[in-house]
Amino acid sequence: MTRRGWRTGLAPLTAWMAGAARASVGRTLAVVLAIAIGVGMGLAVYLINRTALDEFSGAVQFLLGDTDLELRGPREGFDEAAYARVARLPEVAAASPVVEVNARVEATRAGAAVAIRVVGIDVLRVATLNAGLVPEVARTAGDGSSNDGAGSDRRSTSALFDADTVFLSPAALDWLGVVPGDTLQVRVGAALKPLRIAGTLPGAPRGQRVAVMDIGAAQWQFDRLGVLNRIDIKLRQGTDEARARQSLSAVLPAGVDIATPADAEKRTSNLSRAYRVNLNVLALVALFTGAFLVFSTQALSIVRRRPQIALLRALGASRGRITRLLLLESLVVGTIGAAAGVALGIGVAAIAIARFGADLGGGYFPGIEPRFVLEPFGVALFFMLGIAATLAGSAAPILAARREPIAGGLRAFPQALPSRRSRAGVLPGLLLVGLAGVLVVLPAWSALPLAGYLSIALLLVSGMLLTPAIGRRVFQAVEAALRRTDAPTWLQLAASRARAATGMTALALASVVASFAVMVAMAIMVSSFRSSVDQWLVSVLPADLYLRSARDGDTGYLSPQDLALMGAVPGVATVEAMGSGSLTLDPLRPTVALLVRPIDASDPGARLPLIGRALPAPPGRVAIYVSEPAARIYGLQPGQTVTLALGGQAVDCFVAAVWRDYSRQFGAITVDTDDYRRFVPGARPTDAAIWLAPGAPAAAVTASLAAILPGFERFELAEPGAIRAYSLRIFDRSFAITYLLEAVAVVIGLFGVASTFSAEALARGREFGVQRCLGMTRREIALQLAAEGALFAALGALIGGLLGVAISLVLIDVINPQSFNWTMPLDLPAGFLAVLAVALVLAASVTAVVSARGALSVAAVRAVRDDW
Amino acid sequence: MNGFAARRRLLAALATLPSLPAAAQSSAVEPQGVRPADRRSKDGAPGQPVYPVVRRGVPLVFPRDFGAHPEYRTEWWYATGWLQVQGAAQAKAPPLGFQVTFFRSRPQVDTRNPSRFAARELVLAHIGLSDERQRSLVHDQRTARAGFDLAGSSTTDTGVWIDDWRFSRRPGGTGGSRYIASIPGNRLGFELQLDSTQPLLLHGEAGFSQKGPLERQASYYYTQPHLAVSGRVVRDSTALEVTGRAWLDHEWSSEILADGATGWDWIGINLDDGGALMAFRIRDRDGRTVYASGTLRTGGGGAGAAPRVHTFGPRSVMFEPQRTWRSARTGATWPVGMRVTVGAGSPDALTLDLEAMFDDQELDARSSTGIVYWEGAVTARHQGRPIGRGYLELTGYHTAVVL
Repeated sequence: MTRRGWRTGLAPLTAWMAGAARASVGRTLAVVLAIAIGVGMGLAVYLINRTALDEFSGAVQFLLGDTDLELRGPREGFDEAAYARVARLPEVAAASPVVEVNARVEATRAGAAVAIRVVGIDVLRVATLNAGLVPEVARTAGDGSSNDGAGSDRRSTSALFDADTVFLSPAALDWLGVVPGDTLQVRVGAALKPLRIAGTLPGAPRGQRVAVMDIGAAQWQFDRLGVLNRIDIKLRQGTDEARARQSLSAVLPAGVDIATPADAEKRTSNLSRAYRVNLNVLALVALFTGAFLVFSTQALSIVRRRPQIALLRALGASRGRITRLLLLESLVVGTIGAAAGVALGIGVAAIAIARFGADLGGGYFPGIEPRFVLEPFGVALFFMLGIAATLAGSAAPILAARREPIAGGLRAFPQALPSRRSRAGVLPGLLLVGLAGVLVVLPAWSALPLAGYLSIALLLVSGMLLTPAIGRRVFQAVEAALRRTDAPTWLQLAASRARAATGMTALALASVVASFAVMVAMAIMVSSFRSSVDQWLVSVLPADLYLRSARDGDTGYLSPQDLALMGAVPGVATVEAMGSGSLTLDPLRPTVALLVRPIDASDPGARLPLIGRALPAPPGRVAIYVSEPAARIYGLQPGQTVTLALGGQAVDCFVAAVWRDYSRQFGAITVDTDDYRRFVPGARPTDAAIWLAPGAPAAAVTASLAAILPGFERFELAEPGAIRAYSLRIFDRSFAITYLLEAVAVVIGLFGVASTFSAEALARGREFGVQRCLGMTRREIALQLAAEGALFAALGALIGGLLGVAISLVLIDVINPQSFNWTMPLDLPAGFLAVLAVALVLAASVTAVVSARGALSVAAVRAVRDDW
Repeated sequence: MNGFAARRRLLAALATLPSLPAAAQSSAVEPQGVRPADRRSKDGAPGQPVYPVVRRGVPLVFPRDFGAHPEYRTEWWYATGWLQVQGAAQAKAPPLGFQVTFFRSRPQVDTRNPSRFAARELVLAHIGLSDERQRSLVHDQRTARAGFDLAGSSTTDTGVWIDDWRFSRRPGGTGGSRYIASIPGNRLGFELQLDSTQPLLLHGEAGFSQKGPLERQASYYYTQPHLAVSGRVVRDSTALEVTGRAWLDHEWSSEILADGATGWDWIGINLDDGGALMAFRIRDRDGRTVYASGTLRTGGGGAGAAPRVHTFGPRSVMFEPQRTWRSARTGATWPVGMRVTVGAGSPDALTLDLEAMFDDQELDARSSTGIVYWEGAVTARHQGRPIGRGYLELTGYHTAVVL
């Protein structure tokens, strides 16, 4: 026959095979779903991150314009005198001074209160560097109605330089629900200051929420007299950047770093890098699990269709043709799954961005209106990944089918894949475990825990490889133990069946092992983290009451009068003022928080959750207490001396101790208030910790504070318990996505169990028939199946549990420190894990019985006869 | 006239500030005869700047009044002139026209703001070069707020600067003045020394120069004509040694513009006989003269007669367009040939026919300020005979100057 003839001749058979696939529509759906979930999660994470990064780099470009170099000081600013020195350098063609605050705006349509970035600029200097920041004065309705043209012009002229005017980007106007002519109430200290919205920023890109005002006005209104946050400069043409950097460092105070816009973008991208990578890995785990499900399902469907395949072969179809046919089939399934996944991913990303923002509530990207952007590359990438995962999952079963001799396949009743020798996977499995062990001790790769993730993948694979061998040993032991007792026949049979498990069941077991291991690992990690955070919160909140000048922004503060008034309230024993600033230890990294509070050098542990003991600072050195992330990122050890920029001076500081910190991922350094005041006399506290006199009721003190403190209604006063509860709520929210992925992993695992058992039941129809003929009731066979399911699940839970603990150790001791630079003690949620294991065993039993329902309902005689 | 030129240039100089209109007029000017206690009632808020009113009969005191007057709303030092390129190869080169202008402006911002960045004073600079051979007007500009010694003005003598652009005075020989215009630049730059050869010329009544029908529409205004110029002009990275003759105006005020004015014509001419003529008229919507004035100091005619100063009022100054040029760029039609008569009807009457160095000395600033104006080097002829050279400024011929 010609090729063409073959094609037409085999068409009905092809259709027949497709029909067989249709018959198992449930399983096909499961595959589609698994791929869709993997692709969807991956794509959603990717799209959300891309959106966030695009917007953020857009913000950097917008705020820096044509700047060649950005001279950035700490959050609390640096001496403005540097501006004149910089502007006069021969290398500098233009210099634009900037004051930047994150102003808390009260009573807006956007909500009770929000913080908006306010950029104070010299409009005449910024224009050459960044025309996008040049405001446009709005002609308000009131101006137009008057025919005193000169009057309105006068207003617009001064509006650019006025002390009480502000210009908002269109996105900011939208966000706050205001229009030019309205007044914004901004917090400065405890007071509210009105700022008139005199116009807009036509050059601001979409989505950028920013306010611009005159630099002199900003210094005055926000109590930043004498300080700048940034100087943006343009270099004279042909100036060597390295030489310019040299000249600049000579005239800049300590703590002002020189960065290119690319550095600034890198720094902002570094903000969320670890978070993004970890989410991406979780998405890949989902995809991996999906591929695994494809593998088991495809294996099953090929087993079921062995007669059809053999028949096609007998009729003359080549192996290649069969292979192509099966590949086409998984390609179709993969395409449908990937397409569904793309739709799912886009939907999830769009909803998540609209609902939680582009950082999913992580708080990494403030000041940006999240705007979902569909990125074709990502869509194509994850679509292809989905198809690739399906094909990869199908590869092994298809190759097995290819090897199958025609005669074996033609036997009437489908048989399970022959059981491979259980020892086959032992050696590679052990090798992979060894390799995983090596990987966990490797350091992070460019600050990403890639080796850690790889070791987790290897652990999962090795667990699956070792499972058959372990299963055989365990079930042998169970069978032997049961034989010694007078256990019912169905139970004995179940144990025997389990021991003689086929390749298929081994696969199901492996899938249970994998998904349960992932779930256990995540549960242990999250539980360890949560209990560490909980304990940490207790130790960092030793006072009875905490007063905060403003939750958002950096324009609220407590004046000395406020503090004095607080101290005089009856029932208040001690008031400790706390402030903060920022330090740049590496221009490419996000800044380190500088925490200023009273620290008793002889007992720093009273205020800080120290790791280890504190060392006494030698005379002449300022004692600093470094948070664990700061210590890990910058390699700081107690006893070391490090130079920090405090108030524009380079100060030799002594690392007295390291303390545990879970809230500032990029590091924090604590310094005693008195030490800090020596360098920054005008430092303003933002928070106060209040200790009550013995027996003084918190409610009465709160009432007195409310009566005495001006602007109290704008402060936040909280007891440690409330702060703890609030913090843990945030914690839980930020882990919501991991809970979701855990659930997905388990559901996929159960899909695997269901598909395996239904395949087994089909394959064992004859066996059940024989058992019935030998006098077993249907109920007993069902019980046997339930017991088999339970045995498998129990073993899966056991191995998966152990594997999960191992993986959780990698997560806790490798991935977390390398990603977030904090450590935590292991906290095994034993009760929860036990419940999970029992639930898995029960679910597997039920699944086993339900999946076999069809096979059990066949009349015994028919089942037996069928074979011969 | 210069007051309007200043405001227009303020606009042009603030090219990067699309919404910054000129603001040389205001009801916030301290009304005459009002007691200090009443001042705040007018525009309300405390911290509102109070601009001093220009008063008749206040004598100008030098060198103090060479310097800046930061209390006043606007002020400018405005040098224009004709230059001849030196050197053998350039002997036949046609003359160049130049303009170096520095302004200061006191915006209406809260005077209580202690910030060193508070915009108490803006400094603007505008430079231009008219090149007959290239028939083009090349210009550049800078604007900055005074402060940090990066931009500012001196109150003791002429000294005004933005970064490395600087215009300053120091005493010259025999009680005169030497001005230095130091404007580094590659595309366009000046390094000029301007030496006085004559006494100052005070306009109006001893420097009190009325600009509109109302008494308060006035400025303090004096001119240093016939400055001997030497130095260098940089054009497209090529330095040219030049000498020439220039005209320097210094004027400060708080309120100038009359209601209904849409544009103005102004001239400042160094007469070849050593005389100097300044004249301006302000036009309304229909081209009628709202106000006009002029000052002529005779050159003495070589007969050893002492120079005499004639001051002309609104009725004796006439501007009559003789020839127009239509700009293809903007569609505006400019009276680039202008006949100016001062002292009409009196024995001192002088009629000048002004002839542009070349027609296209138009400056199109529509993209930035929406204003198109003409600022050009002109030769003055009397009965066909050239008798002097200077600058003519025309505004309001494209669209009305809305201030």
